[in-house]
Amino acid sequence: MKNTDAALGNRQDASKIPSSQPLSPSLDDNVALFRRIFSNDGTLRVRVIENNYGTLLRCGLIYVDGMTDQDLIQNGITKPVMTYPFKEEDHGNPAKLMEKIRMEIINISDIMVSTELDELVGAVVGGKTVFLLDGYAGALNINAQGWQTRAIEEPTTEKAVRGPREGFTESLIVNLTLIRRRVQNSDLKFVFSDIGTRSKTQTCICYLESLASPDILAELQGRLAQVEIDHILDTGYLAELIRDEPYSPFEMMGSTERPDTAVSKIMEGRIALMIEGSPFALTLPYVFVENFQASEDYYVNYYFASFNRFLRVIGAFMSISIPAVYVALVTYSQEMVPTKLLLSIAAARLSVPFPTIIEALIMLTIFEILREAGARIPTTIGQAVSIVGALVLGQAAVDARIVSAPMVIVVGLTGITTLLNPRLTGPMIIVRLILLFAAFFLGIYGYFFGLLGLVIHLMSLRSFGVSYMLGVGSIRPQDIKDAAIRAPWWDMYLRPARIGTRNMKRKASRKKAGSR
Amino acid sequence: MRRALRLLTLLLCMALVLCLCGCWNYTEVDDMSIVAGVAIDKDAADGKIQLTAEIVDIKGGLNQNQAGFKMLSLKGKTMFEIVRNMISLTGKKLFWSHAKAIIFSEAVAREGLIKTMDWYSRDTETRSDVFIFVSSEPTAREILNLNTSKKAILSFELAQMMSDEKFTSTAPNVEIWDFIDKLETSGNHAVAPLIYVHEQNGKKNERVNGCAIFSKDKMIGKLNGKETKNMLFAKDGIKGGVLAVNDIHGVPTYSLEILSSRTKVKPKLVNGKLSLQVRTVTRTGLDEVMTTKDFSGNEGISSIEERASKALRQDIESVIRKLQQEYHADIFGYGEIIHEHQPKVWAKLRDNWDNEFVKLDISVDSKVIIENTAKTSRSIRLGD
Repeated sequence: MKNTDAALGNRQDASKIPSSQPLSPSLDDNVALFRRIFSNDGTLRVRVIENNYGTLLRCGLIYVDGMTDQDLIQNGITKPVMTYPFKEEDHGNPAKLMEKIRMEIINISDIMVSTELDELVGAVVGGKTVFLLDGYAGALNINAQGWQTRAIEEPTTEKAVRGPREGFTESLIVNLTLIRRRVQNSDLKFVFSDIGTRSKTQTCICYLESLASPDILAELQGRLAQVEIDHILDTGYLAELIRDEPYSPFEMMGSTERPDTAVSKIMEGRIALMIEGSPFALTLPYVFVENFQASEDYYVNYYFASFNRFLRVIGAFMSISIPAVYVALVTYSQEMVPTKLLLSIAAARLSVPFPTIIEALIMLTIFEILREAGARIPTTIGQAVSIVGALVLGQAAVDARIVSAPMVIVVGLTGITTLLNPRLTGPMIIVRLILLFAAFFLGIYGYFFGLLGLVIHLMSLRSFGVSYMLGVGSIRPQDIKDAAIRAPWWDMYLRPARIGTRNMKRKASRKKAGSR
Repeated sequence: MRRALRLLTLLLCMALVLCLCGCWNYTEVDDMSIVAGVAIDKDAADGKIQLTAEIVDIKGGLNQNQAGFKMLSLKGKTMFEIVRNMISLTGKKLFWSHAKAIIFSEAVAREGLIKTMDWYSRDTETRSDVFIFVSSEPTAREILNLNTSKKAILSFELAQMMSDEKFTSTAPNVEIWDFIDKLETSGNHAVAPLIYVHEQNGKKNERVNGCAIFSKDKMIGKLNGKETKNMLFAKDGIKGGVLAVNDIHGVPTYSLEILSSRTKVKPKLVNGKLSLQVRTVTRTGLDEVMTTKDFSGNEGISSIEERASKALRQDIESVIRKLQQEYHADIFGYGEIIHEHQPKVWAKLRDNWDNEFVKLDISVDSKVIIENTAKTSRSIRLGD
């Protein structure tokens, strides 16, 4: 504890050093200054190199270990500077000498001259190398970054049977190349900024200049500028900080781990937002139907894709409705249940000690526990969850008459339909519980009131000025093409309404190249 | 586009209907006694109503979802009193929405059904789509009490029987709302199917055949199964069934399966005298030929058609005569048809319709058409 306090005290001391303090002409003073700023930081490396041709030349390299490319520093900076045959006339003017070193000796492409201390400190923590020259009150800011990143792997959260297998990684620059490789067009813009008063996380807004709405872009930049937080570790932070409707359980920005999905959104006129350190890109504006779209929909046959999409929509509806409808029917509107079904439900419920609602809550909670446990535990013992879930809690609970068999079916169906829409898992849990309680208090009326409330809520949402339920409920063919169904590509000749408004035309016409 | 909108509106309206069915009582399914059917008798000694309810006896256990039944019987002054008092027998409130059958004893039916039926159609817990029957046995409860060979719930069996009734057409298919609707319409009399105990080899089974005829809400007579079928022909109520046809010598030889049948009734006013013309057109398939004699020539088929038509006409006429002369009851709804076509004439007739019906000149014309001969076009030929 004491150590931390001391470290904190030092950090505060360090931050007390005025950032406007100029560099000193003396190398030793400058090195001492950096050492003071980076006190208690074991990763700081200070290397003093000398060149003995004629007059002694002393230089200093300051960098952070692990974030720099050692080979590059060795071959690009230290070796050329140490071995360069300086002549006597080079030494008179340090500024000229520095210029010569920058232009003629150092063998690295990205070099900037800087005299600002805080800029140099920022460069060092960002993995760059600061080159100091004795006798000159300035420095070179050399980009010799290099660190370990995860390899590009198949995205685990959005699997596709058919389609690209590349997924984003934690390295922002790698992610941008994944996008750039798919859109080789100078129209694709990457605008960088830093977010996080302490972490200074690199953030990149990525869009197509000719498609993205300037209003939405300005709105996004305005919101990003207002963000005040000391660090962000994932785009999830940003998604919550800059979203519309902060109290709604629904996601107001899309997130994807797939470069192809991100590119397809960008090509529709949407804007992608990425940060260093997160493999998830945010896309905006986001509308409700995007929850049901999977990247694979666009790669497989459109009949099959439309069918799958239909399943997802039905699945989402069932997932929020089944427990509520079951409770409403079994406890209020028994006359709506077919006679034979009612008899078998009644037989199954006989001698179950709890009311139906408690039964439903027990089973739903158990299911959520199993889901959460399955997501958290190491994969090596993952099978234990399914054994416990299926055998112990399912079969045994029914045999012991703690819950009835129909309830197990209800919860099982609820669970499996939830898994159809991984993007909606969170909101659906909340909606399902609200509907369940409404159905418990008011029966089938309650369920319908709840559903009505849900529709009203969804209809009132907006994402960056675009209605969240855009196109839902519309019967215009253009609105249905990528919502209720996935229309064939030759027919999707326009971009989505209200998003790709700057240039609606995606294709020249409905022409099918293969048809006669 | 407009059609889609209409469809959407329709769907929305249908969705709204779902909201109308809610009952506000919170009850768990296992905390109620599900009534399958009821029998209503009258105790001759004290004049009290006796209500017997067949209640589904749910047996717990996963492997035994087969539900049994138990009988509860209670006397009382009014229906509702009995129904509520039954809680003291079952310990659970009776649940009526899934009841399928009400059986009235003949005594109750002859005294008038409104007394006992009003509660059932008025109460919010019951449903008016329950089938009604009149017991042909001395009491109604003995039918419900039948320990049938199948050991299943009798009322549910009856409901199944009524939904398949259209293949025989020997009993009318009457639900309680339908019965009350007939009572309230002038120029119409109600009928209800009759239910018997059919005994064979010591095993007793229920059997629905024939119908009871009502004047207002009081039962006045019975028709047997064949008469009932002819009665249904006369009132356009046939949906299926079998017509047996004799050969030239009067031996039943052919069976015709009724595919569809339409009856048109036309009132005619000639010189101020009203007469009714009943025309039936029945499309059939020849389904059974109990002879090797060839019928494939057109003559053969048309002669069968002719004989069938003639027999059917006579049968229909005889049942109409029977109703006119014996019961003075217009169960065919002809009064209503006259009301529709000749409203001015009806205004004069309506107050004395039962007597006018007796005097009414009704002519019947039947036509039976054989459309196909099922899987083969000829009789079975014997090899030499």
